Amino acid sequence: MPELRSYFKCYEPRFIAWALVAALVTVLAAFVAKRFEPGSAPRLALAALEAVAMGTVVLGLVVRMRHLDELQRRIQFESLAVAFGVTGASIQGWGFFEKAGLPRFDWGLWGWPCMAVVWAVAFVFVKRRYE
Amino acid sequence: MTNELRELRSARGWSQGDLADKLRVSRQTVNAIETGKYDPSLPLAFRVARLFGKPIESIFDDGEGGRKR
Repeated sequence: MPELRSYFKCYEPRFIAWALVAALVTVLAAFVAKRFEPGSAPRLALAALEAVAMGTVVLGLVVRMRHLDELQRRIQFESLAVAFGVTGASIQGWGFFEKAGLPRFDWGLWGWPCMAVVWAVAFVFVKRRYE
Repeated sequence: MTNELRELRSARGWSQGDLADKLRVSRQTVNAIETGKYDPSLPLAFRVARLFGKPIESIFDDGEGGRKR
């Protein structure tokens, strides 16, 4: 278990808890915001709250990553590159389908969760390459 | 790239965890270097060389020239 834990240094319980809170705040703010008119002050304030919540998660992640050793960092960066590529291709690909008539998908809201899930899956496979 | 890390470590009776602690990296990193799945950065290679008191080229071999003893 300590071996696995060392790979997850950047996912300390405190960080995970904060990321979950930030995700919850973001999703809740998105739903609450629908009750207000676009461009209204409350709606803009909620949007700012979402942006700040996500920004702090990214900052926390960068700080945690700096505590990893060089191989662990490489594994994380390779996983991130895969997540970036897959999410980007998904957004672009879905855009083509939208133009072809499929319903619009809110990537602004789901892009980040999608990237996080792909990152986690990619991490499992990338880590195996170095075992 | 091949290396003699495992032999040098074993000769001193150290576990991978012991070596990882001395090099301030994870045990997984030591294992990946020993199995040739990961080539260490230059700073880490220097730390390895200093720890064992040997020149880098006597521990790591990129296959371009004979390993010096």
